Amino acid sequence: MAESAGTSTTGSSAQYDYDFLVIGGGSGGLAAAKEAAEKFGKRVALCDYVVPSPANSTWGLGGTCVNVGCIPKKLFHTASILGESIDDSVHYGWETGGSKKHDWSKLVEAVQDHIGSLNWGYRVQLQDKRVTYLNAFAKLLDAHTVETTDKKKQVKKISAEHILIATGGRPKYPQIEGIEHVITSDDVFQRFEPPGKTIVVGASYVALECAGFLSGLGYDTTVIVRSILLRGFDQECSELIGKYMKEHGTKFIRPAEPTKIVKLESGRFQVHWSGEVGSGVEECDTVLYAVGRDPETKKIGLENVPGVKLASNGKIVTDSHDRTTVDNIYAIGDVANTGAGELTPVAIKAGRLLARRLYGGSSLHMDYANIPTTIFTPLEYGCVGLSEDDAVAKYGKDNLEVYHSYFMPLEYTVPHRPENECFCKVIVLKNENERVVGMHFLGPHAGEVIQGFSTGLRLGMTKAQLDMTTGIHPTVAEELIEMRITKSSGESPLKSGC
Amino acid sequence: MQKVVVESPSKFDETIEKLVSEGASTGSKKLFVLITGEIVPETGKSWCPDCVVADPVIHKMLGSLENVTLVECPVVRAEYRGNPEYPYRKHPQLQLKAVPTLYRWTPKGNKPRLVEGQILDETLMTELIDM
Repeated sequence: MAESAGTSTTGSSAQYDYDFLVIGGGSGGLAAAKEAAEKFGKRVALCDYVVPSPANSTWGLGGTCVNVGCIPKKLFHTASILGESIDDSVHYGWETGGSKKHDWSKLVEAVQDHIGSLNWGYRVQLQDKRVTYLNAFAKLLDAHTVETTDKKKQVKKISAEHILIATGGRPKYPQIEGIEHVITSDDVFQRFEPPGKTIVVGASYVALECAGFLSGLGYDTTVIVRSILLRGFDQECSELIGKYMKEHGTKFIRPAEPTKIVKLESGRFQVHWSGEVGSGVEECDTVLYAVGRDPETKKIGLENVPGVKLASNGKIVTDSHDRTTVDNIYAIGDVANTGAGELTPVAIKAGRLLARRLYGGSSLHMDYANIPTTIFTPLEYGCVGLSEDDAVAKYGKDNLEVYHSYFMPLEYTVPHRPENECFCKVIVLKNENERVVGMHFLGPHAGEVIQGFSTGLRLGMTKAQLDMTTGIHPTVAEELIEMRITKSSGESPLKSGC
Repeated sequence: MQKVVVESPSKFDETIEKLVSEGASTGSKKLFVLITGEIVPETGKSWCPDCVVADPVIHKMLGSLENVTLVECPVVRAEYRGNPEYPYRKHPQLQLKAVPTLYRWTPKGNKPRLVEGQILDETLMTELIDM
């Protein structure tokens, strides 16, 4: 059993039931709990409890990513683009008999099945690593004490020297008439009935990813957008995503907002909307809201620990070492106000590093800058570093060179897909030897493409160093190497021919 | 608890299908599959030391339960050890990695399982039974 270097374990922590109490069994919480228990032999407890969604959806251990986020999203996206592959395959000589049908309930079953295996896998893993798991809702009573309530309403009190809040977030429900009729990402991946004609409200990546796979799987889908697409992301790329989705059958009502939702006797819904673009009523089978997420800080008892400060967005204020404004309480993941994206790998790494700092004498903390990410819309978007909008704001247009290019993957030629759908952009700092500050890739396998390049960007690579990598041919990733055309040259970035 | 023994891997699927069609894994009924080392004449016990320890635990926790069926699948050491083609290893729902493994045979594709020492954990066993 490893004793921690800095803190006195027998002295201060012996008076508590646990050395480390983690509230939240998602990406961050699980990583921190496992690290503390397995690597450092600490007495660790983890509380995880899912309050059912308004539409009564619930799920098991693992948090948002495993149950209602990354995992089901990527699988539904995969199902959707496989449909495109079926169409492409005909051009490659496959004889498919012409008809293409998708069984929604089969997809839901397969995905929920996999999620179930993950829920159980994590449960067993916690036990293997000697983390006490409580399937109970934890509420803080004071800085060292928590009250837990399980499904049978049994209440227990437990105390700990260090407490980690990793409760994540849940979808926002705006206060409009008929909001009780809508579903969110909490629900869409586990309903066995096909969604039918769907109205998606929002322009977040959740909204566009959902609208994307719904359209791809054959459902009549309309997105109601209040203003811009993908706030916070590069706007040129965001508009290209919207354009692609429109050209592939997703409808947009923009700019507009729903004003009320009415449930009809038939069981269908009427969405009344209005905005600059006009006003109208759309009838549909499903209304899916994806207008942002709220941090889970309202019911966890923070009023009993008044020292814990919240930012104006409701997230917990933390420093670079994930400490809240109360000494022994920490926060990581989506619930913490780090400014980094709400991403699983961010939460996992933060959780592990926190455990190492608390119990392993480490001083390493998270680097929340330049974290790569990918949006799995039908046209996938991978990026790392600054958006062009942010780069211009930070450095000024004159200090930047923006290389851009449209391209066509080789695999798209045979099926005669449109030529200039895919796009990439590299933003460099002129006065720092063309150091790369942002990379943007719109095309297939975007996540795979950007992952490797993000290491280079984080190491401060210059355009020249990027170009010296030499491309792999024929791939789409090589499009990011030896980009020639700059925005300032005025030359067209469109590709003609292949 | 009702026990059914599957004499050889080739008989596994038909045994399970028959039990499932009879409703052994639906409603209040629970179906478990145990892949365990066979009893060898030399010792009168399983050739697998972990199985010797796990066996009484399994029977203690499942033995007195009504509506429970345990499908026991003895494994011949020579057929299993070092053989990547061993049928229980390749079976899509079993994907056997170690012996003993206790599976809760739910109607879904995913079969939650406990492996080796995990079977001795009363908390995990209780959760596997209660699910």
